Amino acid sequence: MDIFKKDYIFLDIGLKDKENSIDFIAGKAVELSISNDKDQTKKDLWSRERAFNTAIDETIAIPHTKSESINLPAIFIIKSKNIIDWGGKNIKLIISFLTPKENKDNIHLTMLSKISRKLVDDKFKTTLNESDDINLIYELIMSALNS
Amino acid sequence: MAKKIIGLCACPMGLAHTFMAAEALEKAAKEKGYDVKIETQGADGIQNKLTADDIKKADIIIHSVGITPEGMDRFEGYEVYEVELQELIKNPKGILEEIEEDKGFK
Repeated sequence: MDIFKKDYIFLDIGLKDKENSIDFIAGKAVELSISNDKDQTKKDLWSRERAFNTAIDETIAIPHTKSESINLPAIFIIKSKNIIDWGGKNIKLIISFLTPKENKDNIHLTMLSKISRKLVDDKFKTTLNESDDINLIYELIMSALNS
Repeated sequence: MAKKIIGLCACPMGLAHTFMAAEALEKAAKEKGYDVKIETQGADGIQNKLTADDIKKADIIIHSVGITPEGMDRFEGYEVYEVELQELIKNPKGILEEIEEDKGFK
């Protein structure tokens, strides 16, 4: 069970707006057996967005949820072809954390916390923003997870 | 001896902002030459828990929380600076400077 794989990197995706992006995340989560209920995953991601918009700077949003619909924790990296209006911010990179509601598996949560810590590192964010190389993105996230 | 900053970070999901805020504060405090210890109460439980001794020896205590964290009674009787998570993530250095000024460290 891996929290992150190359399959979880989505490059050059034609996303129209925030609505469409959340739908994409939930759809892929079902496709990859991470979620058992697309609608519930969407609902829970939206409930977090409504509580507080997850744009963390001018270009990155981090939609995340702890949801009953999630079977296993995962990180998605999604790069949009177009600029997405994310509650007033012009987003091109989405980093999504999906975690089960009840989680006894602390190793994965600790790994997630390491990625979160990297989100205040400008160099990490710039590299992630600028790269369209799936191998480089994979290595970057994996090295953060294992730091 | 270096002054000591301690912090407590927690957010509703405990997945992202808790750790972003902890990291931002830790970096800024280290850059300024402080000893620093930050407790996080996230989805992975309580990490790096602040002891009574940490709290007693701290020159600056910062709480950056979006929920009511556990163990708040530890801080009774101490001066605590409450900082919003978003603010701490965005401008950790500026916040530290404001607190330093307030404390008369500068």
